[in-house]
Amino acid sequence: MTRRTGLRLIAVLVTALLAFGLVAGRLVHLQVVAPDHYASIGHAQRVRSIALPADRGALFDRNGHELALSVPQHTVWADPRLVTDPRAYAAALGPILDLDPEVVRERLIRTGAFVYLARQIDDERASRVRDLGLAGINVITEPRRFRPAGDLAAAVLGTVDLDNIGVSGLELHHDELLAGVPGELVVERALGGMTIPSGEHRLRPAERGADLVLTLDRSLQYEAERLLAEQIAATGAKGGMVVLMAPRSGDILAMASLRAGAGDDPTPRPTRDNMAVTTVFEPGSVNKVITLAGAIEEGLFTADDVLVVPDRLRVSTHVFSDHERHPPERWSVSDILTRSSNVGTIMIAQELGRDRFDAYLRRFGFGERTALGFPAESAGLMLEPGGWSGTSIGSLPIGQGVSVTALQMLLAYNVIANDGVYVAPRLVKASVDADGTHREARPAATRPVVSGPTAVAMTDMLVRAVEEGTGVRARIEGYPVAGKTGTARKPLDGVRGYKPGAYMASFAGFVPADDPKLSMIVVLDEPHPIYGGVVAAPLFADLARYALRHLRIPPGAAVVGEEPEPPPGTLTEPVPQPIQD
Amino acid sequence: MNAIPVPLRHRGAPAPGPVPPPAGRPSLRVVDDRHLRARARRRRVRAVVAVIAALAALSLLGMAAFHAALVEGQVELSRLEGEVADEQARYQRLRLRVAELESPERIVAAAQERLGMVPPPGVTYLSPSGPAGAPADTAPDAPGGDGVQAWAAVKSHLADRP
Repeated sequence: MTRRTGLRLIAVLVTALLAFGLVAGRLVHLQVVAPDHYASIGHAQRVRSIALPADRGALFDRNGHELALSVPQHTVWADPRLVTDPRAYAAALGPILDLDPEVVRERLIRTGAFVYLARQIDDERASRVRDLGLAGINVITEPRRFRPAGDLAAAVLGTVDLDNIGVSGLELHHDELLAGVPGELVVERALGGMTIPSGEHRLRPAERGADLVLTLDRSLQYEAERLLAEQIAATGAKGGMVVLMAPRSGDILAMASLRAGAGDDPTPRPTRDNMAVTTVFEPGSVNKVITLAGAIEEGLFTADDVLVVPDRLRVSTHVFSDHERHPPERWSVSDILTRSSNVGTIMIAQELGRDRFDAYLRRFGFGERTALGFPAESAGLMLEPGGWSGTSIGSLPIGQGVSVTALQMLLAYNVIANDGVYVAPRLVKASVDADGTHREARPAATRPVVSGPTAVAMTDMLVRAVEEGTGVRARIEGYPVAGKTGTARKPLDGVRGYKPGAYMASFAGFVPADDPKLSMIVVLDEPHPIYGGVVAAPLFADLARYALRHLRIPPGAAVVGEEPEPPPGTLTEPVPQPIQD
Repeated sequence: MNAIPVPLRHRGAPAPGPVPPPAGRPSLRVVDDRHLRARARRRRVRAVVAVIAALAALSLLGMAAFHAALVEGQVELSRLEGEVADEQARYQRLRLRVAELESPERIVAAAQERLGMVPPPGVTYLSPSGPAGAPADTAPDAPGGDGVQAWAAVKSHLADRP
């Protein structure tokens, strides 16, 4: 062996030793120095955690008809890293997804590994996308919320966003219950994406959200919206509200809010805002019920007590008047309500006094949100007694200067219908868990407001107001109706005073008066004619007739016939005069 | 001591002593028991090794087959899960379709547009004038009288029905 050969061998040996040393060092690094780091990288490459979205619970009406439910749809997403020809992809996908190809192309050239192209598309379009077989374009399934009856009760049911999170209405209010609990699937995946059978596998199933059975009745809701739309169109009103309830249970059977159409399409449309609980209005004469109930409850008057009622009355700086001029009349308390006398009501309120009257308004539920807890629900607007002006004892008893929601006003009438007991409203009758367990909602909370005799006396007066007074168009053949009309001026926005010529027309009542099964309030915004007795009372009667038939509530013993026409010379609702302090 | 013939070919074990040169026939020699035991032990070892090797091979084959079955089962499971998801989605879509068809708006539209129906302008309530269940004066099936004539009139419209 020459010296040269020996050197070569030594060089080879050294090189081999160095190479092995590097390998050994790397091995030590991998296995000893940072084994957890590399193990976690490998784990992350193999193991996939897949979120399992929970099915959102459905909304049913009280008879089990679906009002809102979730159905799997398809979402198209792209991995821009795998897109080879964005322009050609965009040209192929744009027409299928109803998107401008340029918009699609812009999304396909973004950086990152995930971009939505179209969400929640139907089966047919998803199938066409799959058939294209484009690399980097994927279709996944995700649920979409549907309302099978269209816009029916839209404001009550509310909406969800693209991620199925409630954003308004009951969808928002009961989002936690409806949404359920997402699950998780952890699996080891091979390169091709297939699950490794003997690999890690953990499954935490998603818990489906609970279904809600509402108190709404789909048919009554439809009829309420239909009749309200007709009346809005017929009277040229800006909008309107109807709330129909079962007064004993507090169940809301229908709750409609519509606005007149705009532009070329005058058809009234359901609002997105549930105005019956979110919008306040000055109630006008329907508020007189509280004034008189308080006075009778306090023992100041009975229904038959007689007062001498002039047609005008000065209160502080303002003169209040009745709708029609008349000489001083000897009217009973019942007459005052039947004729809806402003002056007579104010005289009674003056006897009741500021503090007691304010207390009754609050006991009837004004000034606080109802138990519904509906999103954006209003508590109404009430002055503290200390903030009353000199004319407040004149304006508030006749329903001006106080603002309430339609639901609050109806609940006050329910107190009379329920023998003096306030029954909280409810929109949810029961819930059904994912395992099918049916849970009845808690019964509505109750509290006494006035005594039974007071409620009976008020009912008799309200029946007379319908039989002989301003509410005669609310009569229903065979059924005694108790109710009261209201025609109230609309306040100006943001400034003191009232809008000239603008009125809110209303009617609130219950039927059958001797055993109330239904109660209802109808409110129309700036109708023509302006009177509640003319525009709101007929709608009350029409919807009540339908509801009585639909719910199979039998008429009384009396033989009934054709619907009577209002007699000539029917009393019209007095219009409160502008209040100028 | 008995003489034991020495085999012609003996592999492995050394001769116990000096072997005389062959002369005609091979010399006989005594075989030690240790040789026999060693040979038997070697056979047993070979057999055990062969069995273990066979078992190992079979185990590997078995594991491969089990794994293949597992993979096949996983594929089938994935397919069935996909089918379940598809059927559930189909059920939900059909449920939605039924609810849409049952909606009052659609039914009213169909009644008005396809059947020409209109909402009733008013409702007339009827009240029974006598006690319920009172026999009518002329029951349709009473022998003779108007009932028979009425039945005959109806019958003619029924054609060949019983």
